[in-house]
Amino acid sequence: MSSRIRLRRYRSRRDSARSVARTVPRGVSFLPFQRSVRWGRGLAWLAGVVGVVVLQTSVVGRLQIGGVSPDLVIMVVAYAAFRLRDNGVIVLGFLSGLLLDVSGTSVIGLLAFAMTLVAWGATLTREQGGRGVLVNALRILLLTLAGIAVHTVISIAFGEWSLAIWEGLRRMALIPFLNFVLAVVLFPLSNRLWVPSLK
Amino acid sequence: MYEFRSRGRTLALSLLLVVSLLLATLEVRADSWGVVRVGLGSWLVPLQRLAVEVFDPLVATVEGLAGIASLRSENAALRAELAETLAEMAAVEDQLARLDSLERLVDLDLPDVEQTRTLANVVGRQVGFEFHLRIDKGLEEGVVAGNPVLDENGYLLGRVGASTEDFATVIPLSADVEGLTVLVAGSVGVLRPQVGSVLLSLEVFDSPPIVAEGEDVVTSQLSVSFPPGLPVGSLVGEARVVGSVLRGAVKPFSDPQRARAVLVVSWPPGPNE
Repeated sequence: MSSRIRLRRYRSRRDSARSVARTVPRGVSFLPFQRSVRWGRGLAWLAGVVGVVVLQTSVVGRLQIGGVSPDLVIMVVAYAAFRLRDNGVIVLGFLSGLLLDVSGTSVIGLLAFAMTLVAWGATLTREQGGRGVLVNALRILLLTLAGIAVHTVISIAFGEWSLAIWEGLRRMALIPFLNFVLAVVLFPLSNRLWVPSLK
Repeated sequence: MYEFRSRGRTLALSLLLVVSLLLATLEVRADSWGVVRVGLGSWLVPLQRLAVEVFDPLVATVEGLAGIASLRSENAALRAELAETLAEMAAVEDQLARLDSLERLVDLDLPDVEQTRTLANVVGRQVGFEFHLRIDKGLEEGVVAGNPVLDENGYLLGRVGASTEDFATVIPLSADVEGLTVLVAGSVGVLRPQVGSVLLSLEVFDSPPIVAEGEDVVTSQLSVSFPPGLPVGSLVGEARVVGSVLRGAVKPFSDPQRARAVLVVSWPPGPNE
């Protein structure tokens, strides 16, 4: 498939989704200038994040490849950007990081900080999520890499870094790669979530 | 594309980042968030237990599949380790057998031999035109050329061929060019090696005795090189009388191929012994 045909299909899907989004009924607004908040959808994603955090901290940790496990939470936050608005994604990222913080033993707030930035990155790269399997997987890879890098830096700043430098670099290389592979495998599902232009 | 598209997002992002840093700072500085962690984290525990219960079979299956993949390399490593262990065991068994030989040599009770004895380990074998053993004792321990050499059972093995400062060579009976004066059934004879055979040829010149198969052959008192009464071997097959000479074959009791340790006897005795 040539790039021109792919671009045409992408624009067609985007226009179709925009027309659908205009017909969706708005949620509740509490302030005059506030846009509507879709609480149901947000809570559903929050429940999903809780489930993924539970899986990440109980089951996924046992499925290790090369001594590391994929980071499902970052992937879910990245996919949430397909359906939630910017603030929703950022709040979801913060809460997922906070949940990871309290379920572990590290300083509370470090993963929340990193995941908030990941969520912000996910909102910025939302459009790229629908541009094919490799672009989407690359987006996941970069978000994962950014999340781990930010968490590493903030951990060092707060004196919480306990890994050897090579161990840290190995994790920084392997986890994004695992997420990349997982994003390729899950693309048929994630592509269904993608709705362009939620503004 | 990457610029901020709304103030709300900027505000939310900034607020949450500041809250994150505040939480981290409070935990590090105030060190009073243990209750919060327990409170927030405790309700995750039942969910984690449930997840483990539900997904444990799946995880076990995946781990099993991954285990099969690494099974071959693990088997190869275990086989190599087993081979190494077996080699170590064989070496230990060899050392134990050598120790057993040395202990038997120490306790050996030799007839009419009160001379100096020297225990020696067999450290090499020369197999070829001239078969001989190499032992780890030499002139420094009093081992000189011509000394009789016995095996762990007290059987005559041969004599010292050459001796240096720290090692010596032993010529077994079956490879010696010199004859050995022996006593068989009360008659004195001579044992000589046969080329290409482990058997020794026996010749008794003086009044051939009546001998049977299995008759023991010992060193004679007339021997200059060996103490008298040392067991040498036994007669195999029937001895034949040719003229006035009795001819037969003798199989040595000792086996130089299996000797690990030997006893060297200083013989003939010195003037003070």
